[in-house]
Amino acid sequence: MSEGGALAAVAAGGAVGSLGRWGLASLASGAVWGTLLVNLSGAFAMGLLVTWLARRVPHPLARPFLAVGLLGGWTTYSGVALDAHGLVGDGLLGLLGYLVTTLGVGVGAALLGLVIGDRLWHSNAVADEIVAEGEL
Amino acid sequence: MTALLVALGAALGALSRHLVATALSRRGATAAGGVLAVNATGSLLLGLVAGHASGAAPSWLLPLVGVGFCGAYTTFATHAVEVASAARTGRTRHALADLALNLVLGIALLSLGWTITA
Repeated sequence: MSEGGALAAVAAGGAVGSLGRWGLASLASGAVWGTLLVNLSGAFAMGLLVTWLARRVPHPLARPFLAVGLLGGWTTYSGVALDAHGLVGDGLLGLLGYLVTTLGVGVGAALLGLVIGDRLWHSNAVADEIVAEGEL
Repeated sequence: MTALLVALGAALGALSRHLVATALSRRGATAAGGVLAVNATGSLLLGLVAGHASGAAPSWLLPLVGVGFCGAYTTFATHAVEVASAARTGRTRHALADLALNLVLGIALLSLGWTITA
């Protein structure tokens, strides 16, 4: 597959994923649960996706479109930083609650995705190699 | 119109992350290092943009650069899976350092950007 095809897949996936995130943020009226929902669901989906990528011979555009583009666009880290910045004025408890939920439940969701994917596709060691070395 | 701005910014943001990650990886950076680089710089840019947008800014700025570009340029999904994978393969210190560095740099740089332009 040409580099141009992969670049187009990354751009298209990023646009679709981000439109979804923007739509959800509009529904949430900018409240932090919008960011939470995209990031927790995206972390779980990425865990599943890498185990699937580890076992199948996917279409060459599957990884650039789904992992780099779609889930990269759907989730956001700068949005977490902006939410945290906005929560500082509302008291330490809300800020800590938001960060602990995002990071704790987010990593837990990713782990759950990896574990379920391992069961479905029997993949564990290869999936961890993809995470450590491949671009997602 | 707003959707178009978000989509355009996001396409460029996702492409930029791909290009930055590829370039850093060629220079020997780990995958986690590449994600840290985009999350830190993307948070700084969002701080600059959101700080500016808190005053009198053109209406296209936040959807195009903030929601679209910065949102797609930075990633939470990849970061969370990297931390989870490091934790389950016994690299606990790597996982904790990865979590702490992304968080501290992300919030500090976002606040710095906001302070500069607000």
